[in-house]
Amino acid sequence: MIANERRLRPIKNWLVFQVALALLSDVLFLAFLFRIQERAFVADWVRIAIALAVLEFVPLLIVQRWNLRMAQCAVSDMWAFGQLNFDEVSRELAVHKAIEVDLRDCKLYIDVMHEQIGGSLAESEREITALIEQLNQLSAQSSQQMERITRSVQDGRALTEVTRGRVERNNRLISKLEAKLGEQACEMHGNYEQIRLLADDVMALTPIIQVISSIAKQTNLLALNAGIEAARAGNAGRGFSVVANEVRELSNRSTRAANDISEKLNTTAGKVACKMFEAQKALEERHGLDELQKLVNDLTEMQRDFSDGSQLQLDVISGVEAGHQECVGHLVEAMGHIQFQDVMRQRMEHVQVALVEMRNHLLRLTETEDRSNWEGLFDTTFKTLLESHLNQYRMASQTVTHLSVAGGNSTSDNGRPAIELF
Amino acid sequence: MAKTILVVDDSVTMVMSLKSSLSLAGFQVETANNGQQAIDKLKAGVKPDLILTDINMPVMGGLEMIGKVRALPGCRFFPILTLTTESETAKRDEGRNLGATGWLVKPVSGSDLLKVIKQILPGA
Repeated sequence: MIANERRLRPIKNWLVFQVALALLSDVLFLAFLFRIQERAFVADWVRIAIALAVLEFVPLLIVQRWNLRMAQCAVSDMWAFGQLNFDEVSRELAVHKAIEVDLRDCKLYIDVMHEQIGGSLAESEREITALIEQLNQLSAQSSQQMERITRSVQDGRALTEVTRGRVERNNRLISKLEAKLGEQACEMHGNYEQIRLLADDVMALTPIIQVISSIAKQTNLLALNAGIEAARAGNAGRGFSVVANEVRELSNRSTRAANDISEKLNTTAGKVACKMFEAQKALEERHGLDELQKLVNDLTEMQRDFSDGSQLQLDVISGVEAGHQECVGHLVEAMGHIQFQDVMRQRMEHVQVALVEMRNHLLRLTETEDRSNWEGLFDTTFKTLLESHLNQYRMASQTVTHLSVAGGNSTSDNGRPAIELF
Repeated sequence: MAKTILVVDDSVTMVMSLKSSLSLAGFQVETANNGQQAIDKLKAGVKPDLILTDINMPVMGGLEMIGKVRALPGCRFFPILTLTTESETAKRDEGRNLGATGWLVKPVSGSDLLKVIKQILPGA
């Protein structure tokens, strides 16, 4: 303001000088008139002066005051240029012109940015679409895999049932076989024991035969001695000689019987040995039956392992099925997250609208410079444009972002939940 | 028999993602890109068990569609859910007055969406 006053002072002085000059010219004009007429009185001078003051000086003062006010406005508006010399003013005008041209070029700039956003949105939509198609293919493959798995589950269950039936049948057969083998083993063992007892009995007869044979030999020797004594006794021993002969004959027969019994015992012992060999062989074959039992046990174990494997297969398949369901859940969640693209698209489309608004507003600013009757006020300003957006937002997040930067309070959402059933 | 859901949205990605996720959940899905297409489908004989619609769409918006659907014969009582970015209280109230069953503000997680749908369609 002080600078303005300083700059207004020459103008004010010039205006005062104009008023004084006008008054002076009036006075000189009046003096000239009175000199011609030479009839004027002092009272006339006073009246003339008052008349001049009323008719000319006061209007002139009013006019000059008005001029002064206009000059004040002009100086206020041009205050920025007040201290500038001609070069500086020229430079400022050039800058102003450059800004005007640049403002006009903002159209292209903003249009490009607008299209950049549009292109990005289109690209993101293409990519998201491709992503969804990929997820759909993944889902379809997973479903096909699941169908194959389901069929495998059914086949596996059927196979398990068949296997379980066969295992039960085999177990029954094995039980019968085991019982039969046990009976056979007991029978063989009994036979072997009987043969062994028979052999022992036969072998126990051998010493008796030897005793009989020895007695027979001793009896024969006694009979021979009795015959010799009977011969020595003559007629007195004739009867005794007959007895001795009979005893010797008896001993010979006993010896022959003992030999015969011994021979038969040996034959019987040979047969018993054969039977013992056969029994031993049969018992050795019992070990072969043990091998068979071991084979049966291995088969049973193998069938049990197979049954357990089938159950394991079913467990694995059930796990795969549960994994598939979990995968489906994740896919559904992923599809839900894709909504972000639609949310982002709408926010960016709003920014595009704002860019167009900004472009149009800037262009209007350049047009304003050409108006000769411009009053210095814009119909629309960035402030009013920004405030108007508060009523255009669809999302609470847009309002929150706006208010976090521009300040103010939200009245749009009232904290209602994202999911509301009426 | 699978329940049928009519998805109405002008966004290609929204239609695709909703169709995929709802199909995975075992629903039969019909689609329309605006309210007018949805009305045409209903008139053509499509009988959805539920309509899931956006609000701001070209040609015919969701609110206008809800009002027209409710005026169609046989369409007065089946559920209509909105799935929209619109969170304005006045719009919600308008939707409720027009006959919407519920108002879901995007983004809604897939599990939450299925939970709401199964709540509205028991046995689905």
